Amino acid sequence: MDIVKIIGIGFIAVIIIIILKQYRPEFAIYVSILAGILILLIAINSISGIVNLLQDIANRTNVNSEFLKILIKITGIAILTEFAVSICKDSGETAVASKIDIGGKVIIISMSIPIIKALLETVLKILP
Amino acid sequence: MGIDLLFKIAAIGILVAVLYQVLVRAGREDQAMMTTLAGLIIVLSMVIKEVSGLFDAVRTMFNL
Amino acid sequence: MIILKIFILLGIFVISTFLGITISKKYSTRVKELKEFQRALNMFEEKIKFTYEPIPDVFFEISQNTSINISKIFEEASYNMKMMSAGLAWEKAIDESNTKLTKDDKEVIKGLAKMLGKTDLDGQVSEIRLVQKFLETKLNDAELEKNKNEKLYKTLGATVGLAIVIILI
Repeated sequence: MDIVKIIGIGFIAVIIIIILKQYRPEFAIYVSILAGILILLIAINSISGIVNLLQDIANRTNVNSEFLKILIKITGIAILTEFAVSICKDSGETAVASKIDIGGKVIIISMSIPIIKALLETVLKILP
Repeated sequence: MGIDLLFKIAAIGILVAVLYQVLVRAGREDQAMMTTLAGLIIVLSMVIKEVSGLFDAVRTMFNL
Repeated sequence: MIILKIFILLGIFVISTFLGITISKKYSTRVKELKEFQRALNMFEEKIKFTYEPIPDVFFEISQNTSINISKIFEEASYNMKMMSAGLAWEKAIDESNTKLTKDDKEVIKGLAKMLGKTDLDGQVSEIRLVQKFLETKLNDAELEKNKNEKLYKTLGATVGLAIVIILI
């Protein structure tokens, strides 16, 4: 029962953060970071099944496996950026958060260049 | 690794708060500042390890 | 293995708590000793005013009536006086005693040495009064310091011990 674990960690973290915030707000951020890490680690364990399923379907339907790889990488980057951005926003640093956001977006677009290229080529082929 | 680290950080935070209060009451503001700093660094060193663990896990899972 | 770990952690906690209590005791002991010393000097004043006994005997009697550390000083002094001058004996007894009094306190008390057995009765009594007055200010100082530091060190010992244990778990 992973969901029970996740909910438990979340609740405990919230209670600890509420207690700590009155005395030392600096420590509350650490607790929230750690809670995020723990929850993500639990979630990531079950991601491998999804990835395997996707790869299976891609093999069967003759989708280019390079594309699928890129897609999975992009998902990973998105998760990591989201994690960092939410922590920064929690600490009240929206400026840093938006910069991390921009960095993540740029990297995702640069990684998806092959896909975009392939798409454009297909469009060009279809066009007379 | 796990939930016990969460409790550990909470305990250190509360202890540092108590130490800060006691030291400030006794009129030793600079030492109180130092204890807070030491607590922060200790907790940071513990959290950093977990962060790198998360990054490693994500990297292997999504073959980044 | 786990039992050993728990044992060691418990040991760290107990030791640091004990250390804190020991340090905090220093302050309350100093106050106690200063008070005891005042009492002893009062006795000394009464004795030399009314009984005319030789100083070593007076000191010995005082040592019978005071608590441990202070009585040791007087006993030592009365013993030393058989061999050297009263002032020197007094200074030596104070230097060799292991009380929690600070250096300043000891200097004040040593002020008695100058007059011991040298001036007449009135001179001695006024000298004792002077030392008493100095001791009074020292006592106030010690009282202030005690109020400030005693609780601090007690809490500090326990919390620092707890922090070390939590970090090591």
